[in-house]
Amino acid sequence: MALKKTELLNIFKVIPFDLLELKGIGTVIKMDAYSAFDFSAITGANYLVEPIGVTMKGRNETFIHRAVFQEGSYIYSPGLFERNINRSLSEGNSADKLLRLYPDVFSGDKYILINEISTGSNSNIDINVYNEIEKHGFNPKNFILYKLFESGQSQESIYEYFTSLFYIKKGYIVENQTPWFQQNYLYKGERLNGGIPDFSAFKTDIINPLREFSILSSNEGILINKIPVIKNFRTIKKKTNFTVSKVNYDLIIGEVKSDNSSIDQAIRQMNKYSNVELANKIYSIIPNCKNNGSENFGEFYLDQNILKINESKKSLTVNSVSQQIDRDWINVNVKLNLLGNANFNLLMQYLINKYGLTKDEIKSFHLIDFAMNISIPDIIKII
Amino acid sequence: MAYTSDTRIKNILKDIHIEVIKELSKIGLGDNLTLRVFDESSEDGRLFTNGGLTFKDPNTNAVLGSNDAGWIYNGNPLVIVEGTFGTERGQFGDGQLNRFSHSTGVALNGFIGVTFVPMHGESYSKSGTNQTNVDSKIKIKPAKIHKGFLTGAIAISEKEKGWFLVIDAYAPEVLCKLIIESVKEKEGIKNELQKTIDDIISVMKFHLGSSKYGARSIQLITNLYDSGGKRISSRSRMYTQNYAALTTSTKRDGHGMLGKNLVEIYSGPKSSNYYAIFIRLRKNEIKLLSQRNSKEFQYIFNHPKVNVKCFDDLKFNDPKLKIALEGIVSVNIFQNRQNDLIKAIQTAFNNGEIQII
Repeated sequence: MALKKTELLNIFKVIPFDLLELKGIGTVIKMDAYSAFDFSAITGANYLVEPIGVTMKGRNETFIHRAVFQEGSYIYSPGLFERNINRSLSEGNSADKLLRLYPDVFSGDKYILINEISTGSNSNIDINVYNEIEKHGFNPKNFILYKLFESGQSQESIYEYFTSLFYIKKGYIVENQTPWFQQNYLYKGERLNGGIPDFSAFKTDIINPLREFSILSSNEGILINKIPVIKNFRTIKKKTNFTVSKVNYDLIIGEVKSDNSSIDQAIRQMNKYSNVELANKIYSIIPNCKNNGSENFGEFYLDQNILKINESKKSLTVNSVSQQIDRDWINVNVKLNLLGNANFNLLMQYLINKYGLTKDEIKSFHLIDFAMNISIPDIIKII
Repeated sequence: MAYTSDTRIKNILKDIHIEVIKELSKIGLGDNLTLRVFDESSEDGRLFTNGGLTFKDPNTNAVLGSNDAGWIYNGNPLVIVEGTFGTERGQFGDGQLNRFSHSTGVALNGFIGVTFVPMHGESYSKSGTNQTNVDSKIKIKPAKIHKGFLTGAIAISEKEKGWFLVIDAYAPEVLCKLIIESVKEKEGIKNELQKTIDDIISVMKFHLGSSKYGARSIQLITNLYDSGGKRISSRSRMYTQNYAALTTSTKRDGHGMLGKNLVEIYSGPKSSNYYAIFIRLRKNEIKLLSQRNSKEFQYIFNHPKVNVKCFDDLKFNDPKLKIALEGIVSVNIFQNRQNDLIKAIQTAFNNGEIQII
């Protein structure tokens, strides 16, 4: 089911987002900067802050795999924080750096422009669109270009985005292209294969301090990609009279396909995810699939442009020990992301003091260890 | 999130482009320079002439691997880049050769091909080593750039029309400089392009060190003889994959095989013929593979410099060795190593006790 532009616009209209007609440009979706960030980070859509286009996708990489599937080991990759040629820790995609490089990302309303790319055409049209927008008297820096392929390719990320909106409203932290595991995981005597779940939504007890310090608003959740840059959108400050609530570990996984014809593949993949007994719930996210035929997995689907949910008939078996390990890993991951808000030089000073090393001797693994052992309130002090 | 390193690479290359344009603008240049990069990697696979980032081998017309981004000057390739963080994502050995064909295609066509990769990566792995004064859950396995990769790249740069350069992904300023000097050279103004290239190759040679290609290999053959006792090659390789390994996990094995072939064709003695000997395949299997629509097999089986041989093309002086090899045809060598036997076969080739019929 390859979405057409008009269909996609209708879905945005129902959410609701405002649609505007801009002379010479056409219909655009208006979003504030806070909302637009999620759209770019999930779908890869380019901000036209430069003619070449710049995306917020892929800028907060921390862990590639989940520790629970790696005998508890933390499998890290530079991305959010970088390293230099001597393997010393360096600033990567911190809040300060992104604000310095691309200030227009973090303020002002943004207009999402959907361009349909016909089959066989090249999609590197950003410069052309940039020039076209300028020609019509608009500032390209206020625009985000979303490429909608006629073939239907790359549309899965749109459904990841809509599902993210759903769970953010319910107070979850959400993530697309979820760290999992790829090769063999020995579980209950069986070698299991993994994958990369398209979508996840999760809660742990870390939600409490995130709310206490206004990183999360009272009721809403957040896209994990936004945590490292949250100070560019709102003031981080301690709430007075904050009440801690009980938050149990909850992990939801989604497998996205753009059409019902891929349901068998989706079921196979969801079975793999359920075999490891980690997620509390697993859903297929397929726009034209109201019933995936499995009692174990629920469904997200589109019904008259609205994203709807069906719960599964059966509950999944979960392994509480695995969930405990995963909870700890999630919390470290969130703290690493939050450290993206810190002034990098100041963060380095903390690391130098803690490990008794020089700047050049501080490596990525010191940062991970630091994140494992620091609390959210102490991170806030650094920020 | 757990994207492939494509997204990160493309973000970095776009940032480099912004920096390059800024620097060129200071000297009134940059108008003729564009960056060709796609958000999704499927378009990388189109031929350059069709708007993509892929090149054909001019010797065989076979399509080689695609690239991640290309700087283009007046519509022509200037610097074409294939990026990977494989050395930080568990690619410790021959897996790195999977990407060798990508920059090869660029260089064979006379342009500057760059593989942008951490020369000294740190992969985090459950089987890695604990680091001092940090939690025991943090374990690291270093992965250095494959010396065969560097050997092949240097050989291609020395022998072919273009350049195959390997630049550390954590030295983006080097790539920046290469592009800037390339533009200046095209504009006909004073430039340091050759010095920049020479410096990059010096660094490649530094990382290569005094390493001798294939010194520890148990599959490389340095003396290959025909049944008349004549030495027919001083650089060949025996491949140990059986038919199942090449057809059920083709993507991985095919890419690595292609990479190895390319490295060895170009880095071997110019005077030597190159034989790719599939010791666990029979003639009918070779025929089936040559008919598969896989660019790796098409390349190897049709390359004018590659002589493909198999078990049926071998004459054994020692019948026991032949029987032993026949006995492991169905074995999964990845799970059940046969190193002693493979080593014995290598020795037999080098001593002329196994010959090509």
